[in-house]
Amino acid sequence: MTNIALAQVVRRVRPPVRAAEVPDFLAMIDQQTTMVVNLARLVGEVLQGKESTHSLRLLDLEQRREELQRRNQAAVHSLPDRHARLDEIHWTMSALDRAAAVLFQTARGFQQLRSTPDEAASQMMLVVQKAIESLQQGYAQLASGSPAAEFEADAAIGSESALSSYRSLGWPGSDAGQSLAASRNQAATPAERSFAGRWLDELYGNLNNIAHELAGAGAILKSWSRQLSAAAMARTLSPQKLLLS
Amino acid sequence: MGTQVQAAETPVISRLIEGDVDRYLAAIADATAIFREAVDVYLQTGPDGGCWRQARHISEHMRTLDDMQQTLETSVRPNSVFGDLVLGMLDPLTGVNRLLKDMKRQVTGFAIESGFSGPGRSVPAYLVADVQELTNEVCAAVDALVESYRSAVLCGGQASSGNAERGVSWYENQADRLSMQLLKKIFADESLDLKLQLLLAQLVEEIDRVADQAEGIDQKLRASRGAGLPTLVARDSH
Repeated sequence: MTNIALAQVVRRVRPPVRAAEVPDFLAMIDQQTTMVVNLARLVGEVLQGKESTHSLRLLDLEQRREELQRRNQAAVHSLPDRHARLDEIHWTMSALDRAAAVLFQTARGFQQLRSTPDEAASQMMLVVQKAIESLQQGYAQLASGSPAAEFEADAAIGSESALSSYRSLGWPGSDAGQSLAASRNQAATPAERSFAGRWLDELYGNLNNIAHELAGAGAILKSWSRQLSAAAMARTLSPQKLLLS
Repeated sequence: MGTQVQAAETPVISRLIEGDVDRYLAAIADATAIFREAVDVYLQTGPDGGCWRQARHISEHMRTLDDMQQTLETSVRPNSVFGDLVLGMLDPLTGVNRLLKDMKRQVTGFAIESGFSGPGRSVPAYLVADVQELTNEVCAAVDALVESYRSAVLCGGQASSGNAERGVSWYENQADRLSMQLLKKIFADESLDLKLQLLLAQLVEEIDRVADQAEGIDQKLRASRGAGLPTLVARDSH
């Protein structure tokens, strides 16, 4: 009988993670952010009635989101240590995934009632699009070692309070009836007005939730950018090494 | 000694968890406000009024609370420092969830359950002010519970800034006293038939029970605080 040492068995089941095998988390986050940027633009078009909720692009993005989430989770869980930076990477990926989930939910909600969003909601959607684009630029700048990533992070963080200001301008359901009437070219019934008002209220809530997630990802990006800048001053750290330093 | 995650570790995650827990607690307080409003609408307009609006409102709000809790649980890696911390922090809130579900059941009951909403089930006018006062004390007990949890988890166990005497137990005692007075009034009123007296007594006891639950959770929270409830103390700033 051949005795196999336990350590050998463990190594065969789960090989130790070497530096070369550490996933490129920045690239993974960048891919995920690109998906959310495309999704936010598409949902903006859906809300404006320029794109169908049954669009193939939306279905493609939904598949893409699932693929990325599966791959990202597997990558994070492939590193067994209790590294604090992994918590930040995991939080970022989760926040981006939840933002995407709420964007899909927003598009699906629109399918039920073809009422165009009011002015406040349209502006809020633009703020969300800009916030996710800022994050995308921020991650690209972080990867290139640019300290400007911090400013892009600030833009994403600021989107949450900006959205609150827009929301205070619009009163839930205030012009839902007019929006519905304008979109159908005929007056809305009281029941339809009430339903449209609830949909708008839900839309405001969704957009606020997305901005909250993006602001959280922005706070982490800002922290990474500051640490990279501090380390760059001492010439001790590259962007790729930052995430698992 | 509680498990404190210090700023030196990953302050940004501490702040994010703190922000999410804070939002979650604010949402619990909002549920209390809906409950208070639902009782008020029921008292003012009876079962034929707009009780269904509050029923729908609290159902949607409970879904939001579930989503927020799920967000907190999935934002952190399982078996990580923060994963263990968040799960430890959320554990005492299991009781709060049960309390909120009881509130939801009652609010829904105002609209659809026969015990509250059958014909002629309105509360006699001379009892309305007392039931409102009882509801206020019950909601104050839940609000005090939320503040107690907030100070334990977010402020590192420091006492809340409010009057220490006006804690959960204080409001629960007030609620007990008021419900007892109400029950005496109900059963002393010979103009009410026995069936209506029993239904009114049930309404009073149901409302009062929320304060009893809040006190039970608070006692467990205090016990777990003594045993080292995980706390979140982020000390740096942006």
